[in-house]
Amino acid sequence: MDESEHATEESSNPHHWFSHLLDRFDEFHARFEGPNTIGNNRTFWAVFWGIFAILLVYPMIVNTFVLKTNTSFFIWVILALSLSIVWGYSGIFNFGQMATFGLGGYAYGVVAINLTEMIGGTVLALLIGVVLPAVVMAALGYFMFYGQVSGLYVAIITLVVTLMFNLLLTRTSGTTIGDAQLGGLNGMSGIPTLELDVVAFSFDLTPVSEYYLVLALMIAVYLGLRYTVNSYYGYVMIAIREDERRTQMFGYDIRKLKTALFSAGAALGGLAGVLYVSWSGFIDPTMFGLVSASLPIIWVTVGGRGTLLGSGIAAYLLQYTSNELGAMGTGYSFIFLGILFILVILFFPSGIVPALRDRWVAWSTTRKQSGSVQEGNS
Amino acid sequence: MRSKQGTNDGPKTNEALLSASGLTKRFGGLTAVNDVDFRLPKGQIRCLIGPNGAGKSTFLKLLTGFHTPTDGTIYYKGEDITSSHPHIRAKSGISFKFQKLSTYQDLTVEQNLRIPTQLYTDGDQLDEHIDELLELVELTDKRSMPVTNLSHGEQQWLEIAMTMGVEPELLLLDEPTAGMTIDETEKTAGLVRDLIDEDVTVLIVEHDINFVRGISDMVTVMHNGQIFAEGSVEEIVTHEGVKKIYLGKSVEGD
Repeated sequence: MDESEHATEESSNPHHWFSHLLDRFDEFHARFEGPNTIGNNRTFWAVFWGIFAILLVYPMIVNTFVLKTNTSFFIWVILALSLSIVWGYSGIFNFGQMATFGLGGYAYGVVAINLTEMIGGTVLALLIGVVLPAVVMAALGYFMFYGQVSGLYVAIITLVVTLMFNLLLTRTSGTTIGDAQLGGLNGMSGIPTLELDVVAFSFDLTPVSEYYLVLALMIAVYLGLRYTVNSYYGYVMIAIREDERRTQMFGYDIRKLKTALFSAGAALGGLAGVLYVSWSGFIDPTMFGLVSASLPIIWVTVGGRGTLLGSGIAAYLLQYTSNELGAMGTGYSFIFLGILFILVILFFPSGIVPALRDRWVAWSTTRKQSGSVQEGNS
Repeated sequence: MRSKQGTNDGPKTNEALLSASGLTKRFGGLTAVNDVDFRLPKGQIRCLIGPNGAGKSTFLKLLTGFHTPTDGTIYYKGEDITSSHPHIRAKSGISFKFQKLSTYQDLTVEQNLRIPTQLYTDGDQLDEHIDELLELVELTDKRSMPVTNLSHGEQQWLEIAMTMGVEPELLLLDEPTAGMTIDETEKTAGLVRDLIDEDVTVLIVEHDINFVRGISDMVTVMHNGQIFAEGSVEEIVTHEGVKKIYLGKSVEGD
């Protein structure tokens, strides 16, 4: 944006307060913008906050059931964003992102059931649900990345670890941890909802307040990650994805960095898992099954690996569609996801959202060019 | 951040910035580098020449830590760095340009430069430092272009700028003029000569003897994994043995 242009606008425009406001608007968004994300202009942010405004009034226009279902889609968006960081930006083909979600969920469940009487018990459970997957994946990452395992082998190892958790948890039908019964194949139920009672105010989450909490977290995670990928660590991630060898020769300790990124992604996946279990009150080992494990991979592939926006939108729309198809009968949603996955890989290998972005850029450039030609003629 | 102070205290021209003794690398039955003793004084531009398969690239990769030597020791600034990890060597000032073009293909020129420089430059000086590097390789007007829009020569220069982004004291260049036109090669020679002003010691693997003559006084010749000869350019081009190992081909250029 040309500053001198603005100065003249301001002096001649009676509504200069409005252009001043727009400048503030731009200034605020500048920190979330950069070459590593999609949507670095006023139009994008106007649409973004427009949708946000609709989401704010959404609870007033739909019934509780629809609202509650929608909350779960937001949780999946957070999970998709976590895989977008680990796989999309850092290039670590992690098949175990769903495992971080499940681990977070189980950890939250066990702690929350045991500390249900304690003030702040579920908040502590939330923290443990975030920290446990981060620690587990830091250990796994340490063995993989310091052991020079990379590429497809990471995908295989993370998948195997996920399936091991699945197997392990199906054998827990008689296992109890304190008051919590892991329940084997039947899963663990009766998990208390998150209670935000550590601060001055105290309330149990109702479907509406839960919706707002998850919405706020989703927006915060998205903006936080946008900030991150456009700053130092974003460049580190992309450099590792593009060429590990080259990046190492510049002085980056890629083993350490990959372990840290892997673990940070797990913390975020764990957060999503906690929110999900708090939302459903229930978790079972299918969370660690092959079908579940492939879901985040499909969202991120369809939306666009190198974009946070694409991963998020794809998670939301695909979960929404799967949900609708699921109501028609079992199996339809998997057929749909499978076909979509193959089509996207064939026709939009870098994902649908980047493809749309390219169309948009091409369209707006030609429009600008033809516009300037007309101006020149007049 | 690494400080350049302390290594600049006086003209100890005889002080070796880098040295190797008994350096050996075997790949199965093949001995790529065989018992090499090597010394590189600070502030020199040294060219490393030799026929294909002489072990030049392997030798450079041993110096960067990309390969681990089978035997022998490498000293850098008096310290044994034989077993230190590549990123540690990079941080202590050894920068390496691969033979194969290794710019980040999906990114712009500026993004490419930002990756190495951000590790060594504070955030508020980052843009300024990137400007300097762009000027150094005359790519200022291509700052926000995708790398794939650059010519092969421009990408090679960009990569040299990237290796300069880590503020190196020792720059290892593996055939920086590979695939370049004559004009581009000349420009590269000028660029490498300018690096001396930046207080960088340079070791270059190169084939083109005219290029070598243009930038360096001292040449090391490798053959069959060993150091075959070492001396001034004039000594080397008139060296009977060197002529012979190039299979009768003139090394004087034409």
